[in-house]
Amino acid sequence: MIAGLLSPTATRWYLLLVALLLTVIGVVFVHSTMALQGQGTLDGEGFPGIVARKQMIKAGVALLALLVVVRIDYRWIERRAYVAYGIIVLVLCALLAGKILDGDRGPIRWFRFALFDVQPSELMKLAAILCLARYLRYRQDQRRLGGLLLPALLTSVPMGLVLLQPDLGTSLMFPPVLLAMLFVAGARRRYLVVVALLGIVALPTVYLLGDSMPILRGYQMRRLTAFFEQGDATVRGREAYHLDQSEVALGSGGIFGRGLGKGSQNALGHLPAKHTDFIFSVVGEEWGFVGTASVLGLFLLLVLLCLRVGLHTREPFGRLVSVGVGVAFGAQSFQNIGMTMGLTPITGLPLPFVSYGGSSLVSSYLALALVLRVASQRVAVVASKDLDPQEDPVVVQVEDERPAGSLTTQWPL
Amino acid sequence: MVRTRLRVLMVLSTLPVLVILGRLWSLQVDSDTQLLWRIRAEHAKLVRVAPTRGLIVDRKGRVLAANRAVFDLHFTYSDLNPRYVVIEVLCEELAKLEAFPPAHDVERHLRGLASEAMARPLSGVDDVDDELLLVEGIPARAARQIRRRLRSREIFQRGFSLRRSSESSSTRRLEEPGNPDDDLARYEMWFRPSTVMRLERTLARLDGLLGTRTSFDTLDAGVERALDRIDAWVANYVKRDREAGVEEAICLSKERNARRAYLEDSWLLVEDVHLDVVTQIEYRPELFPGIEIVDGNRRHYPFGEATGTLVGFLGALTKTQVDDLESQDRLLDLWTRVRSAEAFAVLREGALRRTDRVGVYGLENFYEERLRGLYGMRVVQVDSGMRERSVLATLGARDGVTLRTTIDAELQTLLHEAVRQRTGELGAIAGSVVLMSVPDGEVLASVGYPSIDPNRLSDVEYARDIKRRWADMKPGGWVHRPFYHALDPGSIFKVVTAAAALEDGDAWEGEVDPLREYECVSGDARPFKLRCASRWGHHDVNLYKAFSVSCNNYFYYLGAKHLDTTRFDTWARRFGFGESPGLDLARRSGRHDSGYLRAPQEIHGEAGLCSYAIGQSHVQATPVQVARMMGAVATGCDSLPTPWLVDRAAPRPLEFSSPRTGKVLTESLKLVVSQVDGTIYNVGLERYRFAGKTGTAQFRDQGTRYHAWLAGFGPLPRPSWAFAIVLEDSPQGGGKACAPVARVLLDWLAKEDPRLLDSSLGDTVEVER
Repeated sequence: MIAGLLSPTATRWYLLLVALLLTVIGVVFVHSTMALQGQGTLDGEGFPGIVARKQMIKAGVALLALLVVVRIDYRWIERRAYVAYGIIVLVLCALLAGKILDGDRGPIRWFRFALFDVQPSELMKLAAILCLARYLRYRQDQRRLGGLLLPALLTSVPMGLVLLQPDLGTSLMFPPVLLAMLFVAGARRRYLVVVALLGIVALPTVYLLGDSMPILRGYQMRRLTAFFEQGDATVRGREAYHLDQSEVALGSGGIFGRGLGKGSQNALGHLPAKHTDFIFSVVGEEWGFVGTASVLGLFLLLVLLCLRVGLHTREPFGRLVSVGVGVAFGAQSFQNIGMTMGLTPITGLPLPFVSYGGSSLVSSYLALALVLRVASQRVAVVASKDLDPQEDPVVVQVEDERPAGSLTTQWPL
Repeated sequence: MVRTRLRVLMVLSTLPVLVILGRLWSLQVDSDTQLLWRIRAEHAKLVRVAPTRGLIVDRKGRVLAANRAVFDLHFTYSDLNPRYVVIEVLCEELAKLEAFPPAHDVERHLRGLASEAMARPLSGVDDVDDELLLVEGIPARAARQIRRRLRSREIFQRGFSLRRSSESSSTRRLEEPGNPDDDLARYEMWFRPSTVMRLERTLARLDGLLGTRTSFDTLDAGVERALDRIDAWVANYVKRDREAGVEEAICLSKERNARRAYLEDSWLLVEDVHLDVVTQIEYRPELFPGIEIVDGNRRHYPFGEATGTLVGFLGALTKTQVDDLESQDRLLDLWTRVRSAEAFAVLREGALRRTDRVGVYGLENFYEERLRGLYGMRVVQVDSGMRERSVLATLGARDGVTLRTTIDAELQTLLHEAVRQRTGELGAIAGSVVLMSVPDGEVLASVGYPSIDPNRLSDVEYARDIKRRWADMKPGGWVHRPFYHALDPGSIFKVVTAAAALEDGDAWEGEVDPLREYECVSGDARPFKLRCASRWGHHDVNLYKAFSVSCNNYFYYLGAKHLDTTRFDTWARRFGFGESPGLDLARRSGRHDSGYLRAPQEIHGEAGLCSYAIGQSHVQATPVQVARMMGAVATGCDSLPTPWLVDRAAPRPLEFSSPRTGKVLTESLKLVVSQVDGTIYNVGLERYRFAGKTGTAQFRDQGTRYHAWLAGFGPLPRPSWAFAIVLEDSPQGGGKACAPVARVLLDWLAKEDPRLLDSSLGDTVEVER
C-alpha cells in the first residue's frame, strides 16, 4: 500500500492534487482580494464573488486544456516543438511590430480578444522548454562550450522579444530553465557555474551602469533601486513602496494570520496588484506563517514531483521537459514569492496556479499536462547505458498508449 | 550521471525554499517586529476635529464675535512649485562635495535669471522656450547622482537638462552624464522657464483673479513666509535630537522627511475669497495647480470698530507660544501619534495646532481657553487613496463656550460714534468712555477711540490707512484706551484730595475748614506761586464751592496744609489708583492698566503736594480707574466697585471712618452739575439728575491742549451707575469738551432708567453745610 503511494505512477496524481490545491487556494484568495475591492469593509460579497467566479471559469478552461493535452502523445508534440516555437516567436514579433506601428510606448503583452486575453509570453516559456528539450534530447555537444551556443540562442531570442515588450519578469524565467535543462542534458558544470555567476553579477552591474547605459526603462530602474536600496527610508517610501507594503502585509499576518478577508493591507488597498503579483502577501497577511509555509511547501512539492517524473523517465525529451517545467515552476514561484519580501527585485510575474489570470493558469496547466503525460507514458528508448552489464536487468512491462495496439517488450531499466 | 544530476537539482531546489522560510520567519514569527507591523498595517490616521469657537455676546444676547463660513485659498508647495525638489537635490549633492548655497538661494537665483531673461517681472512669466543656465561646473559624480535621483521626476525630464560643459559655450555638446571614464568632466544644469516657472504662473493667474485685493508680490511673500516657517519648524523638530547627540545622518534624514511632509501639507495663502473666485478655480483647476479651496470658519465682529479693541481679535501663534507648546507636548502637529481616545483626551488639554489662530487681544485673548474649546479627534483607517474607510477611535470636539458680557452693544456703538465725532470736531486725538454699574461693577460700555476693525485686519489698504493715521499717536489704536491708557486726571483727582482731607486731614488751622469759606483771590494761591484756574479768583470758597468751580487754590491749600504725600498715596490707593482695576482683560506690563502714582518720597515740598492735590504730575489714571472712583463715591464711599465684563467680581469695601465723607462728596459733585457756576452747568446736561466732576489736565503746550475729563454717577439720589469720559489732547476743558458725549450717554441712560430725568425724586443729599 505504502509502496504504491510512493511509486512513480502515483506521482502524476500527486502533481495534479498539488496543482488543484494551489488553484483552490488561488480562487479563495482572489475572492478575498477582489470581493473587498473599494468597499472598505470586511464584509465583502459572498463566496464566490464575481472575480472568483471568473477565476474558477479560467481554472475550468485550464483543466480542460490539461485533459486534452494529457491525452496527446508527447512524442507528437515533440515532433512539432520547433514549429510551436517558431509560431510563438512570430506571434511575439507581431505583438512587437504592432507596438512599434502604434507608436505606443507602454508595455504591450496581450492579444485582446472579445472573451479573453492571451499573453503569448506565457506560452513562449512552454514553447522554449519544448524546443530546448527537442534540441538537447540526444546531443552530446553541449559538453563543449560551442555546443551551448545554439541552446543559448534558442533561449535568447524569445527572451529578447519578451524583454522588448517589455516584460522583465517573464524574460528572467528563461535563463534558469536553460541552465537546468543544460545541466540535466549533461553540460559541463564549470560552464554552467560561470554562466550562472555571470547572470547573478549581471543584475547589480546593470543597476550600477544604468545611468550611462540605459538598458532598462525608468520604472525597471526604479524597481532595481527599490531592491538594492531597500534599507533606505527614503527609497522605502518611494521606489520600494510596493515592497514596503508587501512586507507590512506579511509581517502583520504573524503566525496564524488575521483571518480570511480580514487583512487590512488587502482590504484597504495598500497592497498593490494584490490579486495577481502580490497574492502571496495576502496569503501571508490572512493565513500567517502557517499559510505561507504551506503554500511554499506545495510549490516545493510541485517542483520536486516534476523532477521526480524526470528522474523516472528514461526518454530524454520527456525527462528534459519535466525538468524544464519543474524548474520554470520553481523559478517563477521563487521570483514571485521572493519579491514580496525583498529577496528578489519586483517584477510583474504571477504566482503559478494561484494568481488571478487566465493565461498564466492555462499555460501552467498546459505545462503540467506535459509532465503528467510524460509521467503516464512509457516510451521505449535505447541508450548506451542501457546495455551496461553491471546493472541488474529488471524486467518491466512498458505500455505505450499510442500507437494503437499493445507493445510488450522487455528492456533493462 | 543524469539521475545524479537530477538529484542534485532536487536538492538545489530546496535551497531557495529554505531562504524564503528564513525570511518569512523573521517577518512573521519574530515577536520583536510583530507589533510594529501590526501598527503599520492599521493605516491609522489621526484626524483632528477642530472645535467651534464660542461666541461673544452682549448683555442682551447681541453677537459681538461670531463665526462665519468662508472660503480660503490654500496651497501645497510641492504641487505649486515642483522644481523645488530638483533644486533641493542639486544643492544636496553639490554640498556633499564642496560648499554650496542652500536651496532657497538657488531658487532665488533661478527666479532672478528668469526675470532678467524675460526682461519683465516674474508676474508676467510666459512661454519662453529658451533654456537658461542655472549652475555650471557640476562634477561628474554629482551629476550622476542628481540624474539618478531625479530621472523619474517629470519636472526634471521636461524642465531641466544636465549637459556636459565644453570649452566653448557655443558648441556645447548635449551629452548625458555618466561616462565612468570621464570623472573629470564638468556639467551644467539648464532650465526651461516655460516649464519650471509654475509657481509664478499660478500666482500671476491668482493675482488677476483676486483683483486689487492683493498683488503678485503679496502672494509671493505669503508663500515665502510659509517656507520660512517650514524651515524654522523643521530645524526645531530635529533640534532636540541633535542636542541629544543623535547621529547626524539620522537627523538629516528626519529633517528631510519632515520638510517633505510639510511641503506636501496645505498652507493658507489667501483668506476669505469671494465666491466668484472659488467658482473660477473650481471650473479650471488645471490653471491653478497646487491651489486648493478650503472652507472654514472665520471670526466675524458685527460691531467692527465699536467693540474692536474690547472684544479683541485672533492672530497666529507666536514662536514662544509654539516653543512652549512643543516643550509641553501640547502641539497637535503632523507628528502627533495618538491612537486612542483616552490618550487624546489627556493630550488635548491646552493643545493647539501650529496654524491655529488664538485670541491675541481683548476678551478673545483673556477668555481664550473658554472660547477655544477642545480639539476632538478621529483615528481612521485610510485606504491607499487616503480615503477614510473606517473609524477606529473617536473623541468629539468640545466647542468653546459662549461668553455673555456686560456690554450693551447699542450703547457701545452710540458712544463710539459720539467720541469719534467729538474728537473730530475738537481736533482731539483720542477719547474714551466707560460706564459701569454701581456697586456691582458691570461694565456697560467701554469705548476707546481710535479703535480697530478686526474684520479688516487682513485688508492691506486698511492696515496702511491705520498705520498712517496712528503714526504719531502713543499708544496707537490697537490699545483699548479705557483700560490701558493712563492720563493725568486733573481736577477729577480733587475727589481723592477732599476725601483724604475730610477723613484724615490734620487739625484745621484757624478759620480754614473744608466746609467753611476760604478766600481765593486773583488766582494766586499765596504764598505759593501756583495759579488757580480762575484769573480773578473765586473769592469765598468752601469745599462745595471749590468742587463746583473747581478752585485749584482751595485744593492747593488742602494738600499743602492738611495732607502729606503718604496720606495722598494711601487715599489714592483706597480709591483704586495705582493698581489694576481687576477688569477681566489681560494685564499688560508696566503702568498701562494700573496707572501711576509717584512714590511719596519722590514728591518734594509744598509745590509737589499742591500739584498732587489737583491731579497733575504725580498721578495718572485710566478712565476705568476714574469711573471706579466715581462709583465708590456713588456708594457713599461704602465700597469700591470692581469692574467686570464676563466674570462677576465683588466690590471692595472702603473703610471710611465717617459716613459724612461720602455724603459731602456726593453733595459737592452734585453741585458741580446743578450750581450756576458749576463746571458742568450750562453745557446742556442740566436736566439730568446726576453728580459729576470735570478735569482739565494740562500735559503740553500749557494752557492750550488738555486731557478733558468728565466723570460722574447717577441717577440721584440713589446712583446705580458711574461713568468717565476723557478726550485726549483737546483744545477745550473737561465740561465743554465732553458734554456732547456725556449727553449721548445720559440720553441712553435716561431711556433705560427714567429716574435720571424725574425731578420729583429730589436730588438733595442731607449733609452739614
